[in-house]
Amino acid sequence: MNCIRTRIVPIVLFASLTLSGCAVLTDSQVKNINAFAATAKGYCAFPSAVLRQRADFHLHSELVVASQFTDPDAIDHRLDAARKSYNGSIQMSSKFDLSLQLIQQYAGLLTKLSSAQYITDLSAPTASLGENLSSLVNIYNSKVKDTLPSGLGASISKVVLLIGKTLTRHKQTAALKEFVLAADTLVQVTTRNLITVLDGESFTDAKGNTFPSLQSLLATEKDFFMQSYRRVVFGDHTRINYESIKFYYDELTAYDNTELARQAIVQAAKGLAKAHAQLAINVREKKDLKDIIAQTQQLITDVQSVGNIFAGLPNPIKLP
Amino acid sequence: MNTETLNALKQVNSLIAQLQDSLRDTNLTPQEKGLIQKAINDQMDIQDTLIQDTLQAMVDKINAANTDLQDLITKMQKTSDKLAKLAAGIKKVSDVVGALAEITTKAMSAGLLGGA
Repeated sequence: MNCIRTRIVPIVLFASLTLSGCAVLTDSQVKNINAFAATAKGYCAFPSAVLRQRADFHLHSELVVASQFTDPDAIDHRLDAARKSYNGSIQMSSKFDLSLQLIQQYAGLLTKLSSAQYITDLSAPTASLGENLSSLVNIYNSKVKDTLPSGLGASISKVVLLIGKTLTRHKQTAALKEFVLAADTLVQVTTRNLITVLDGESFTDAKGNTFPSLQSLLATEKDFFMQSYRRVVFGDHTRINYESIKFYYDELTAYDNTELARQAIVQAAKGLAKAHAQLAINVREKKDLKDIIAQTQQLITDVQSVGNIFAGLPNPIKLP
Repeated sequence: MNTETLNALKQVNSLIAQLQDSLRDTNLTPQEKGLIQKAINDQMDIQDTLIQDTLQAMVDKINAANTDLQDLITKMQKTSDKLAKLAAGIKKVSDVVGALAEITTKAMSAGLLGGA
């Protein structure tokens, strides 16, 4: 009895505490991971929608310009160029979403890695292990005088589950910490680049060239459309009618709505960056003491219940 | 070369505006009209190029970290697979021990183990 109790219980306790120690995710950390993942998964403010709208606006501007021409060759040239420009812009618009789609993939994997699925999968096999061991214990007890505790089978399987769970959780936690901290730099850089490109007056590329931001580009193109339309259409009284006025009105409304969408995308990107920064801080910080105590207490309770069973074992276990 | 595309774009737009105003002159000869329309087309082509260059620069900037993000995602997927294999490995051990216990139980029931 002493042999088993003094050897197995401390080994199990030591192994479990060493493995779990300070490396187990707390409830608040899991909550933060899930909060970030939900933010990323629900993210639907993709820039491509604004870029496609911008392509439409530019096409309309080109057509307004062409509508002033009288030379068929000039008209054809403008229409060909407009088509080429539109197709190029539409093709490029989807590339604006690539980085955000990658962040969504990352968030999905984060949820998967922080879930209890790996641990849940362990419970089923150890349940059947417990049943088989319990049957063995019952048979043994039916043949010997010094019986084993009837709960021994279930306790042994509990030990297997406990060690398996702790080992898995340890590896999960280590992986999550590594990934969240590595990803934070990338998420912050990506969202910062996105915001720089979409917002403000201009941005600079890697070679030091300055380009207008999307905010500036939309504003410039809206101004061009307005000036061109007033000159070409409203400047010719024969072209002023309900349809031409309505088109002008609808186009300006669409510009304004697109600008609002652009602003919403910028805010959403800032929200995503903030959520992940908070997650990284949470993972990096020392855990909440209450959480540590609660988790350690549960672990000790689990191991103690196993220890109590082993304490009742005869020493040595005699063959029937 | 440091290019200020926004200023270039505004200059092109301003030139197009002047040409459009010129085109409204009713006293223009067909030849003059043709030349002005060609000039407008040339400036519009420059405008298109400036805009396309801008969009490309935007795409390049936004996607600068994509390779690193993709590498991270690949690493995470491999880790997830490894964790699943770990659980499967533990399951295998418990299955083997469980099967052994089942066999021993049956052997003992049949009197094959432990004597009479």
